[in-house]
Amino acid sequence: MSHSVPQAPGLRRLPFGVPAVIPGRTLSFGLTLFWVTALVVLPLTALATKPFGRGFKVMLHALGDARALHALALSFGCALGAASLCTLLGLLLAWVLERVRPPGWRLLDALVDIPFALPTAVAGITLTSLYAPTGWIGAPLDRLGIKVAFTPLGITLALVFVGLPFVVRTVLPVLRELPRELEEAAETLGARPGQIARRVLLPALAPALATGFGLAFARGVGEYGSVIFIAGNRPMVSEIAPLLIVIRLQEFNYAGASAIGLVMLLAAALCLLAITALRRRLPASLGVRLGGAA
Amino acid sequence: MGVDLRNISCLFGRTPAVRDISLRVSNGEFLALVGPSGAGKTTLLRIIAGLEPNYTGQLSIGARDVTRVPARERNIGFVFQNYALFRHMTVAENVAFGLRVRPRKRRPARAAIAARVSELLELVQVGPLAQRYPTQLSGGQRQRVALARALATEPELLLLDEPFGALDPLVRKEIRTWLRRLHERLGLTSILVTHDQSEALEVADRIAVLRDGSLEQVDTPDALEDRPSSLFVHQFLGETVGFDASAGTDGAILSLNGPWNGTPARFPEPATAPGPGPGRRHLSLRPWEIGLEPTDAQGAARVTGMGRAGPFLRYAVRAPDGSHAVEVLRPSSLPPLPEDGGCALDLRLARVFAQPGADDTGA
Ligand SMILES: Nc1ncnc2c1ncn2[C@@H]1O[C@H](COP(=O)(O)OP(=O)(O)OP(=O)(O)O)[C@@H](O)[C@H]1O
Ligand SMILES: [Mg+2]
Repeated sequence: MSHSVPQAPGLRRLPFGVPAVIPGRTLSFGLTLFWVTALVVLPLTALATKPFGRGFKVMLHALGDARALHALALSFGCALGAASLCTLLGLLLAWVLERVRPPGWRLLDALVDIPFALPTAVAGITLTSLYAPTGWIGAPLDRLGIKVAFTPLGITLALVFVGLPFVVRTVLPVLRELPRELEEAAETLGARPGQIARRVLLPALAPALATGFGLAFARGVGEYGSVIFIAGNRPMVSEIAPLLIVIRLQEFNYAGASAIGLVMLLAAALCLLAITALRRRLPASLGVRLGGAA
Repeated sequence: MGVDLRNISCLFGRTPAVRDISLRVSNGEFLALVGPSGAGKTTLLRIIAGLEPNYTGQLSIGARDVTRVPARERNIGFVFQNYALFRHMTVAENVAFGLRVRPRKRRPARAAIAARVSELLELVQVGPLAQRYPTQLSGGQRQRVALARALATEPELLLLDEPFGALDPLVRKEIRTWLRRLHERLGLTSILVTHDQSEALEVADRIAVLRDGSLEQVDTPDALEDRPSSLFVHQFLGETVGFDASAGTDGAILSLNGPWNGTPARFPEPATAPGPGPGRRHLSLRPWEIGLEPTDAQGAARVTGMGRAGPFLRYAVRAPDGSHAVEVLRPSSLPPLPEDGGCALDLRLARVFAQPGADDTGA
C-alpha cells in the first residue's frame, strides 16, 4: 500500500499563545517545563557529559572493552526478544480477557498486574527457583537438554514476565473501545474470522501494540532486579549491561559505568523515537491524529 | 430478493425483544420498519442480517432458507447507524473491502476492483474523496461511503439501521429521496429502520409498525393513514386529536362523551366503525381533518385562540364547559372564524376505534 499521508488539519490544537478554555495555560506550561528540566533533561545531560569528563579516549576505551560490548548486546537482544514475545502474548491475553472471557477472567485480569506490584527481586528469585536445573519446571526441561536459568533464555523469560503487563494494559482499553459494529460490518461484507482479525482488528490495534512493545522493550533494557538472579551473571555469557554498570561503579570506574549508561540511553532513545515515528505512520493513527470519531 | 420471516422470536435473557413476527417483503420492495424506541427494530434487522444468532423461527431470503446461515454467507448489505467505517482504510479501501476478502476463485482482478470502487463512489457522489480517511469526511459523506461499501458486493437485500439519524434535516431529506431513486435504479430490496415517521411515509412502499417486539400493522403509507388497525398506529404516525364517543345499536356514532357531551358534531358513517353494536368508541383525527362550522346552537364548542401555522390557521377549540381544549388546523384560504364564536365539529374523517378497556353495554 502506498497511500500518501494526508496533512493533519490540526483542528484540535490552538496556536500557542491563544487563550484556551482551561485557564492557567502559561502556569501549566511553565511547571511542565520545570519538571521536565529538573527530572529528565538535567540528569540526562549529566549522564551524557560524565564519560567525557576524563577525556574522549577513556570513554572510547571503556566501550572498546569486549565485556561491555557483550553485556550491551545481551541486554538489547534479550529486551528485543522479550518485547516481541510480550507483544504476541499480550495481544492474546488482552483478546481472551476482552472477547473470550472464560470463567475466572476477572481473577486473570487482576493477575496480569502482579509484575507491576511485586518487588522485582522477589520475581527474580521465584523465577530462578522455578527454572533452576533443580526447580519444578527447570528439572524436566533440563532432562530435555534445555537450560533456562543462568542463560540468555532465562533473562528473556524474566523480561517477558515484567514486560507483559505493559502490552496488556495498553492494548486492552483500545480493544474494549473498538466498536463491535466494525467486526459486524466486516462480517456482513463476507469476511471470515481470520480476515476480520487480520484486516480490521490488527490494524486498529497496531498503534497500541507498538506502544506496548516500546514500553516492554524500554523496561527490558533497563531491568535489573528480576534479571540478576536468573541470569547467573557470567561475564561474556549472561551478564547484562545494568549489572555491569553496578560492577564498574563498585570498581570506582565512573567513566566506564557512565559510558555504558550513555550507550544504553542513546540506543533506548533511538528505539523509542523509531517506534513513535512508526506509530504515527500507521494508518490507524491517522484517524486519531486527524481528530473526530469515524 | 424477497425476504420471508415466519414466526421469528428473539429473547434477551428473559425479555422478549421480538415476538412471533411473520412478514413477507417482496422482491424490489422498499419496506420501512418503524416503532417507538426499544420496539425491537434493530433486533429484527440484525436477525435478518444474521448478526443475532439466537432467534427462533424461519427466515428465507429469496428462495433460500437462511435460518442457520451465518451473516457472511447471506449476501446482504448492512448500513449501520454509526457508519462503522474502517478508519485505518481510505474511502476507496473501505469500499473495496467486501471484494478483497472474497476467496481467490471469486475475487475480481485488482483492476476490476478499482473500477468497481470508482464506479460506486461516483454513484454515491463522493468520487473525489477516494483517497481520504473516514475522519476527514462530513457526516453525510460518511453515510454515502458506508452505503457504497454495502453495495460493493452487489447484495440483493439492503438493510439500513437509522442511516440518517445523525444528519441534519435538510441533508436527510435530500439523501432519502436520493436513496429511493438508487433503490429503484439498482433493483434492490431494501428494509429501512427509522424513528422518523415522515421519512417512512415518504420513502417506503410499505411500512411495518412494531410495538413491544410485536408487529402491529404492515401496510402501504396510504392504507396505514386511512385504515390504521389500532389507535397506537394512528397516533404513532402523526399528531392526533382524540374524542371519546358512544355508538348506537347499529354501530353509528351518536354523541361525544365527557366534556364534549352535547356539542353539535357530524360523525363518520357506520361502515368505518370497528364492529357493529353499541358501546364506547374513540375517534381519532389529524388536526387538519377536523372541520369547524360557525353556529349559534346551544352547547357549541368555542374558538378561543388562533395563530398561523404554515399554510394553516391554528385554532384552539374549547369544550362548552371550558374544561378541555383541542388544537385544530384549518386552511388559511377558508374564511377565518370569529374569535370566541361558537362552532360545530365536523368529525366525518375520524378513524373509529373500540375504546380500550370499555365494556360493550354503552356509556
Ligand atoms: N444485546 C442485548 N442484550 C439485552 N437486551 C437487548 C440487547 N439488545 C437489545 N436489547 C433489548 O431488546 C429490546 C429491543 O431493542 P432494539 O435495539 O431492537 O430496539 P429498537 O427498536 O432498535 O430501539 P431504538 O429505536 O431505540 O433503536 C430493548 O428492550 C432492548 O433493551
Ligand atoms: Mg435501534
